[in-house]
Amino acid sequence: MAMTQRRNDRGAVSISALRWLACVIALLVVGSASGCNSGDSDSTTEKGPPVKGGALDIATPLEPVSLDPQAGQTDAGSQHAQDLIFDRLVEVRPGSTDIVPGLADSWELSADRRSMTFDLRNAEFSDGTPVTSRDVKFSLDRAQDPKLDVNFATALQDQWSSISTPDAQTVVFHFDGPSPAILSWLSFMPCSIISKAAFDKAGGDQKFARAPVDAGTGPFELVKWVRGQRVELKRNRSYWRKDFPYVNAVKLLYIPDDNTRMLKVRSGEVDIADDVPYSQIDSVDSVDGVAVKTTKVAAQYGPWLSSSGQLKDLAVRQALNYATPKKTIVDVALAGRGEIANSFIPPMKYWDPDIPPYPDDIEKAKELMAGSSVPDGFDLDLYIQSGDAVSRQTAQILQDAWGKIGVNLKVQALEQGTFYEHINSGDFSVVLAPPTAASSDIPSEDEFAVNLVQPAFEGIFSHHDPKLSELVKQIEGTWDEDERKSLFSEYQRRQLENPIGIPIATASARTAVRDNVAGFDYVLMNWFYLDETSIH
Amino acid sequence: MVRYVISRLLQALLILFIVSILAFALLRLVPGDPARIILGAQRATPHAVANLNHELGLDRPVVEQYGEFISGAVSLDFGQSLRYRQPVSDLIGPRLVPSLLLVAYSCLIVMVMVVPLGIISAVRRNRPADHLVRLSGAITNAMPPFLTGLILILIFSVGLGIFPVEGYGEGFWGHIRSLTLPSLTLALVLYAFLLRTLRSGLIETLSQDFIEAARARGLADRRVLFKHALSNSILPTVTVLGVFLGLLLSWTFIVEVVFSIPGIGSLLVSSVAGRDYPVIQALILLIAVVVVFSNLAADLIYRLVDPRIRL
Repeated sequence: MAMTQRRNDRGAVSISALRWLACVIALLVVGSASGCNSGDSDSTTEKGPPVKGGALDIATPLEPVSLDPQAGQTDAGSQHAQDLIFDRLVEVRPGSTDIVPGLADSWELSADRRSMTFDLRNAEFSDGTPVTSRDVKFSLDRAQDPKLDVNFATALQDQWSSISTPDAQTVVFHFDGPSPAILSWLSFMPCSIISKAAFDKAGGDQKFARAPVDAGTGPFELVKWVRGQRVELKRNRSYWRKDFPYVNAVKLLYIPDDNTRMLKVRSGEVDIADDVPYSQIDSVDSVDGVAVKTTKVAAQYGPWLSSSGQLKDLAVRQALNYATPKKTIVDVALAGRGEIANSFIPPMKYWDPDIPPYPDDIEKAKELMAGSSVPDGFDLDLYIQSGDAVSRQTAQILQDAWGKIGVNLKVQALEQGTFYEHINSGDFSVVLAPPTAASSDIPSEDEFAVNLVQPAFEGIFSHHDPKLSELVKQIEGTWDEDERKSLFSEYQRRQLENPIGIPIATASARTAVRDNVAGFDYVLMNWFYLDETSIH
Repeated sequence: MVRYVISRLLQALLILFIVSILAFALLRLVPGDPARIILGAQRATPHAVANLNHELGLDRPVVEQYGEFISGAVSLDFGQSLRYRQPVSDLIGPRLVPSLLLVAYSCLIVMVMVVPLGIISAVRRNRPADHLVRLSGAITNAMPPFLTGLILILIFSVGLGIFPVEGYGEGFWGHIRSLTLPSLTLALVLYAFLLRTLRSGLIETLSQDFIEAARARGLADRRVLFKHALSNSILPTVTVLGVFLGLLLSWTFIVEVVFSIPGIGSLLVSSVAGRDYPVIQALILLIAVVVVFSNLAADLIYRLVDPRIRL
């Protein structure tokens, strides 16, 4: 193709359009070729012993709302950042529901079971000042303040009635009655221990929420929070876990768009990209230098059924469970990442794996429908959140499957705020939230079990088994772990037999991690665990 | 002229007042209780919702809430964000510059693209160059901004590594580098409209008698084109740009999310999901101010460029 230059009869110079076209095409080809990666990614590179130093950049779709752990925010963005800055008296580690020492290195339940005494370890806040019982009491009193902690104050008020501090290294919790889940709740984010001195210096709740400087004991301390962009953290040199963390700095970059976030990790501009869309797991995993890590978290996925109309009928609800092709949904919508669920509560400490899930049995479903109050079938509305591809795919599968038993499912995709308004007000027939929307905040089944029998939920699920409320009273009324395990098992079984929804699968956290990063992990509540993360 | 400006300012105030009422009222008609969203399903008992609504001031009479909003707006006090529990002005202030810079940069890019290509297209009318330029306009007009943005990221960030994938950067030149692809994305939204306007204007102007007269006087083609034709054709393009500024602002919401720019667009998107009424109201009013005053500015520029025009 010749490049031509010619002067027209008016003296103007023009360049052949074909030259422009050729340049554009060449640019696109070069760009695509250099951006194209093929071949298998090596996700098991031998990295050797951990390397100390370096800065870790993590792209996350979630922006923090507040850095104050007692501000009652339930959003994961806030909790991701708070977990890196603050510690609790007790903690959990990745892949486990076991409670391990945090800022408390031991604890003991009194003989009369009316108090629990915690001995604090010799830890320091990031400015070097010691952690004392005064800071613990200050922090936990804030956590129980309903004006501040609007979401969890009530639940925490049920865990202890008061706190005393006989000396600087001792904290005593006093109970009106049994509080068998107290350790689980104390591992929860609002129970993070903050420095009273740092809080006072910050000058109030709002300023502290924006910049909790020198206020935590976690592996990192806050450098800067640029709203809408990133949270910058640096290694806390006073961290009580000596020799940890390995990296010197962490940046949590707020990148809400899924495609942009994946491109960011592909280009190497970040080391880790959180929340890989299910539909992109395989393609991102195939990129050279990137591997997708899937970690089970305490979140359960599946539609919830209301108590309205035909859904009052137990036979109908059971039929829907039998008619739901769970394996197909896991394979198609969750890209094979998910274990079939046998419980409405995410599997944690007291989960009974021996209770069988509903099998996919269309004939059984038809039989149940034939004996139900609506043998000829009926119409049903399903609400999903618009923009969530997993929900959309699942809804299509359910439409087809439930259609075979005469249930005509009409799917409506609602904007996020409207969607949650329908859930919160109970104004729905069937609702399907995104996979990690319903997650546990604590590493035991107590939160879910208690919440699902609360009056707010009873208005939504009024067909639930009244026996469950009795079971919850017994579960929360005993310190005996074996008894609790047995009661939880009965709760799980009864709830499955009288279903308030269709438990499909346990959800997973999906993270794209570059090959030079080792030791990245999550704890069960979907928080990052970076103590042992290193960059090679 | 002064009388005209005063009259337009008074009109602007009336428009903003009506917009404030509409924004305030319509927000409260949309499903979604902020207190229930904050509390979540399991904690949203009627008692808890009522308490939180009282704490947030949402249980007061609507007229009283509106009065507080509008009187505060006059002094740029838009109250507290329901979600962040911080002054709305503290949230919006730092995000104004990124959005304004994004819009300004995209206007600059689109004019840099449109003027030479519009000239080529008009001068080489119905020839291959013209067809190619018009084809480029058709293609960019058909592509939604989020797709354009992703393609640009793929080529220039992931592929060539010239620009960052996302973000706002640090320092002035960091901002310019980071905003280049998003601004180009936005520029391509307007490109087709402005190109068509300039091309039509130039073609019409070039066929006028005074252009022939200028050529007959022996003026060089370049001088005829730039001094006489372009200067008479650019006005409609400027006007269209001013009118489309409102559209441009609406597209910044998507571009800011795709490129993770901490502007008012991305703040509005997250605030709508969370039903953060004070933030949404403030942003709607702010956007209305920008649109109204940009239209006024376009008209005044029109007058300045061509003194013959009477406003």
